[in-house]
Amino acid sequence: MYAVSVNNLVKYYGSFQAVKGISFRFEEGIIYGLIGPNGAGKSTTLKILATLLTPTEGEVEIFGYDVKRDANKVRRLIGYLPEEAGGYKYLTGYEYLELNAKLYSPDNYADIVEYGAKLSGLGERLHNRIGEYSRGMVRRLLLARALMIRPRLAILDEPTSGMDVIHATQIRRMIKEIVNEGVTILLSSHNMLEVQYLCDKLSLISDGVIVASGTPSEIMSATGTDNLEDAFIEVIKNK
Amino acid sequence: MGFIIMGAMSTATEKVKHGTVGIIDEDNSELSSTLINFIRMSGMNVVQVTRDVLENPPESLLAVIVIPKGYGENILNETPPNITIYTFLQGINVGEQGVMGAVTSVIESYKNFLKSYIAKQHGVNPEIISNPITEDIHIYVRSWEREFTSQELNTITMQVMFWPWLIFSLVVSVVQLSATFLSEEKEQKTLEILLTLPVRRTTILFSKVLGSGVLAILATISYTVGFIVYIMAFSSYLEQYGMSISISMDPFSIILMGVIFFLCLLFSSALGLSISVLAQDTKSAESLASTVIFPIMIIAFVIMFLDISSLPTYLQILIYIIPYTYLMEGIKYMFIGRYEVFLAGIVVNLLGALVMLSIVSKIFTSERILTMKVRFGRRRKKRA
Repeated sequence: MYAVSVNNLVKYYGSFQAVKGISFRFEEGIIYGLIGPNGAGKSTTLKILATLLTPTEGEVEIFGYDVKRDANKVRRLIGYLPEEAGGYKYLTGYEYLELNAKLYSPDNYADIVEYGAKLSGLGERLHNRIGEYSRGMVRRLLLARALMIRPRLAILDEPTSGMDVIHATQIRRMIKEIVNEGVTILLSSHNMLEVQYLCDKLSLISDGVIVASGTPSEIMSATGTDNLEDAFIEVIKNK
Repeated sequence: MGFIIMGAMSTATEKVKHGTVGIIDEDNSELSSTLINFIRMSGMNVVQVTRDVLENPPESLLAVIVIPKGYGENILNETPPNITIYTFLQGINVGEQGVMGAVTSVIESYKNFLKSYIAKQHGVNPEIISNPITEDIHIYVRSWEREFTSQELNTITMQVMFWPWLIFSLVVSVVQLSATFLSEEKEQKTLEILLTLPVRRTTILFSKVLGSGVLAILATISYTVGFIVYIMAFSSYLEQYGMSISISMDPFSIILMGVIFFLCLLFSSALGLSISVLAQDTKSAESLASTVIFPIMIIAFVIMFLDISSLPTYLQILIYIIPYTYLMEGIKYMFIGRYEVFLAGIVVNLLGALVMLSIVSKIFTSERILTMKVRFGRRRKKRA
């Protein structure tokens, strides 16, 4: 069984076609990247996988569950980090993690919260109100929230967006580590170096269409380039 | 409101009870002594003072009455004498007006006493002087099929003018607050995460409705307590001057009015929530809430000044499908113990709340909660 299976996915917003029949699938225990420029359809695809949007056409399954039909079951399996997200500003970071952990495990949430606190790396600041956090701190808290429950699939939309180099590096390390605990990751990013470092497999997406798929090295060798940035430009040029 | 009025009234009563009236008696006649004794017998403290006291009256003086020279003689010569009353108020408010009323009502009573005295002196029946004609006034309100005294009618009219403003402000607050329940999630960008949690969307929505419901319950309790206290305070205020509200309010009507009020607030909460699913942020939500609520409330207010049965049928139907109409109508009907308007109000408000909640539920459980956008301002015209 695939962790994620997307088959001929189409999504319209009114008359605008955001996703134009894409297909990809990948197995459990890897980091899969969906890479492309702004407006390529990455976030729409991730939102469909996170059960926020419904496909106009096509089939989308997570661990065999249909995202439309079995949305409630899918939500138990995933941890989602949106590209643009915030926390409840009157709660402390700790209270926020606790609130979320209780929804996943009402009887045994303390361990989850402790793990989340460790993942966030916020230390004592975790007891401050979220309203007092910087954008980077909020992002670390939200990522910790998505990963602390050890979901079977973590869907991370631009996980390091808005972070400085030091914190972005910590986040990448965190993502690498959590895969070893059996979590499968699907992420999107603009940052090709990040993708090259993190992803086992990826799909390049442009204008709602997947233009290339494979491991980073497969894509680079197919395009005769030595980094993903050049590979992406080459693919788009030949499209 | 009721507590404030009751507090003001009891302060005024205490002030009158322990206050002192100063008398400058420049006449020193038998009739001026009669006036002074009359004031004393009404329960007020009376002290003789001089005109100097008018320059700097002490706090304890409620009023100073000047009885001029020739007062008694003028009365005996059938020329009305003129007395001067100086009343000292701390400020301008309902309580202080009560103090003023207490002094003037004593003088009014004394006038009646004098009328009887003079009439007797002339061998005339005092009753014919004070009430040369008596009248029986029958006021029949057709739409209510009931007869009222003018005092009853005045009381109802006062309520009908007073309460809608209070209710209006409460309803607007509930709609505006509920309108921010989901729009704030959108503005703070917490909604997407909320919707991917392992909680059914109907449960999330129910908890939002519960929040609105708690708000509505608290508002209803404060309204009911306030209303009862207000009526008690108002009655005791009138009784102080020998008047009374002769309309006995049926407790069942008060309960039914409370139910309508609660359902109306529930409808308002549901209306607010439906606005919040459409708006992208709290500012838009509040603007949209005002845009929606004000025209509805204006129509409901119109009925304060108009009799609905005199309107064309289509307007009557329009007015009766607005849940707020029953709040305004209910205020009138609770004084006469007729229940049909309450029962219709319960049905309309309940249906209104259910319709609103089903619309919210439909949007909230679909992707439209994220993709729906309400635009403000004009759309750009497409260029040819």
